[in-house]
Amino acid sequence: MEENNALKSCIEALLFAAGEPLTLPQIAEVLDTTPLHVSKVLEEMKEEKEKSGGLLIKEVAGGIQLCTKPQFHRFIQKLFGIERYNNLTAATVETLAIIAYKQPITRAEVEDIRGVKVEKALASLLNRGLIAEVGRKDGTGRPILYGTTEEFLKQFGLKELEDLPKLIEGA
Amino acid sequence: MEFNVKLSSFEGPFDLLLHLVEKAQVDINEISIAQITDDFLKAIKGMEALDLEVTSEFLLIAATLIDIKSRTLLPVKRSQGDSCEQLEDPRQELIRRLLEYKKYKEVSQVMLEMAGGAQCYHTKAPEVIEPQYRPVNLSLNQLFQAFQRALDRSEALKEKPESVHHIQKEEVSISQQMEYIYTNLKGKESLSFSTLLINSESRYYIVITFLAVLELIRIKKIVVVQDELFSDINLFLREAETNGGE
Repeated sequence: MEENNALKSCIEALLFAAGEPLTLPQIAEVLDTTPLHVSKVLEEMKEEKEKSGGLLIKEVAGGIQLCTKPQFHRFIQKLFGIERYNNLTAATVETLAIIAYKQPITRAEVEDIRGVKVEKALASLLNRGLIAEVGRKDGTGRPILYGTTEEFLKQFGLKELEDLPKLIEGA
Repeated sequence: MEFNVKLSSFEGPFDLLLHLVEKAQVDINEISIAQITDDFLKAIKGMEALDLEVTSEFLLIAATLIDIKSRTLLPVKRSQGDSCEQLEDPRQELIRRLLEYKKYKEVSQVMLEMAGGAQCYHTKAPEVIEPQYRPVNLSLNQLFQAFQRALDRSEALKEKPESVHHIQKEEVSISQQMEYIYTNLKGKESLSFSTLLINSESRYYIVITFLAVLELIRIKKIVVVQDELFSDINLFLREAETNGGE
């Protein structure tokens, strides 16, 4: 349909200009239509983009985002002349994992599970914007509660917290 | 021994314990406390030999292990009224904690891979769309520097050697100069700072002009824009706000 193609092109333009993820309601409002309609059109767009072109549409952090296809990663790196290292240490990721699954959680509770002090790891995670203070726990000392952020979802390619891998219970 | 090499890579006591359990190739629930305690203490000795810091966390777990071991060795004390009640396995708490830790250690591996994968998807930063004649946030410093440059350029600085210094009566006041600038601007689209100062007769005049400009900015009659760093500064009449005043 002609109208559909116009809509698709417009959505593509919006996603490009926005850079950051856009939510369905956001796109719907600009285009004067419903989020349901947008989502239907997006499904078609996703398929089309996967078949050709260098970009694809990803669902991340509760929104939609235009991003490059992974196979071109190394070319992009070459273009910018830098190696983008994650440099998250195992310790930091372990701490992050505990917070991600058990949030909101206090520092002491994290240390209890990890068996070591997590001050450094917490500082590093806060610095990178992967976790944030989300409140305080009632009780003595009113310790700070931590939780993960939207940036966390983005950096780990997650749509939402429910998309975290399932924990393997038991021995 | 390759075990020594690994000693430095343990994140904490649980990490080491898990490794020992895996090495013993037994189910966590079936670990022999005696064996594990011995292995753990041996490892700690190894760490000390390698001059690695044995933190208090390691010592705490070592003490816990020894405590559990001693409890399993001692005869069980049955309290009154205790029939076939399940006796508390002193290992339970430790095993529970180990399993909990193992859960997160394993999932963090997966998460690390996810992060690595997510890195391959590049995105754009949002577009920065700014309205045209938006005044650049000129700091007082920049304004002053422009003024200083004008001062340097102006003829008035070529001071003629005077034999007698005359103290002149003030000729132009700030408000008079403000009027002058404002009226001047009305007829034109914009006025450049340097143009304003072209006919400066004296240093005093330049200073008064600068102060007038500052005052006009303050009472929101004009806006100043600088296109580039160190370029001339342009004055514009400030348009009245249409929706509510400021």
